[in-house]
Amino acid sequence: MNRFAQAAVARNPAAVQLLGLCPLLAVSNTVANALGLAIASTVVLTGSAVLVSAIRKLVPEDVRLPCFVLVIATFTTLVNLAMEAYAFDLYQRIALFVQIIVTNCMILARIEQVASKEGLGRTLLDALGTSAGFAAAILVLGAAREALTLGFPLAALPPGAFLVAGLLLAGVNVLGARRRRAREGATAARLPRA
Amino acid sequence: MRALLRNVAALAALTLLAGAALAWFADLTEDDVARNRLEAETRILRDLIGAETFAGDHKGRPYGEDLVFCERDVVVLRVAGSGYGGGFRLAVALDLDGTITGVRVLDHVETPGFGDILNAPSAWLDSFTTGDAHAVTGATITSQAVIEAVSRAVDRVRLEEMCPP
Repeated sequence: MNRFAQAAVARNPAAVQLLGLCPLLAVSNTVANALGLAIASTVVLTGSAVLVSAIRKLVPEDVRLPCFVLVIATFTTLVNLAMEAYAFDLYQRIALFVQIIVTNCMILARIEQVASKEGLGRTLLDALGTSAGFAAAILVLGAAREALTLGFPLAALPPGAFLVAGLLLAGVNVLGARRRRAREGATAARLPRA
Repeated sequence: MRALLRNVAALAALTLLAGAALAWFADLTEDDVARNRLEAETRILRDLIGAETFAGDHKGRPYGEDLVFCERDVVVLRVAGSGYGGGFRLAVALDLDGTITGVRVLDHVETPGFGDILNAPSAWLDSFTTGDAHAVTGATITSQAVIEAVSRAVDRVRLEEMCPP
């Protein structure tokens, strides 16, 4: 599996690592809001990761975390300004959650684990994969909640976010366990009989 | 000592770069942001006092920062307050008897969910027009700050001075 798929599926930030859950739960009430936050997170994560990777040899070990947070905060503020200038309706709905992208541990984790150690190519693939994984999770949750709202109004409210996200995570775990069992079964079948 | 200098130099250089990038982009987007905010405020004011009354420009007699609009049978005051999450600005519409005919929130940063009572259409904001607005459970600080700001607006109305016939 290449780095992109690994970051997006096997290490999916939301479904497997359970990172970035605050925006995931708060902004997934409609598909449009979810898409807005997914794009904002992608720009912040990819921009910060590429920049950190480019300057990684200039950043002293002792002050690397303040430097990373400064880079993430700068990209977050740029995205926030861009939304306020060019997508004002969306900005009014999700601005608060765009601002707190800066505290999203999913982003700091990718920068500390990958961008601060690896070259531009690998960093870019990892950042795009992680972003795609997060986008997929928040869009699925957004679509599920928006569809369920028709017969089940609670789905659009905060408790609905926990219920729907919990059921989706349970589904992901069941699928993961089934695949693991299938793989183990296949390996066992290939073993020669003693 | 050398390590310390290196750390300080790296942080200072990165901070300068970040500041420069933000200043450049803030300058670039300034006009669009200002236009968006004015348009949003205009939409809220049209909703408050009717599209045919409010043309879009803030005509009327300026009366400090307070007066937005004063014509025919309506005066709109702008008043600021401080809620749970930070500052907010209200537009309060009064008729010439000094009766509140509508309250709208121009901008606020209250917690989503708890602050939803401030987003029109809101039965709670409409309750000001019946003179029967109460604090809201779960949003005590927000709702009390709005009630306080509205009563400040009402106290400050000087209709004869603001809207001479």
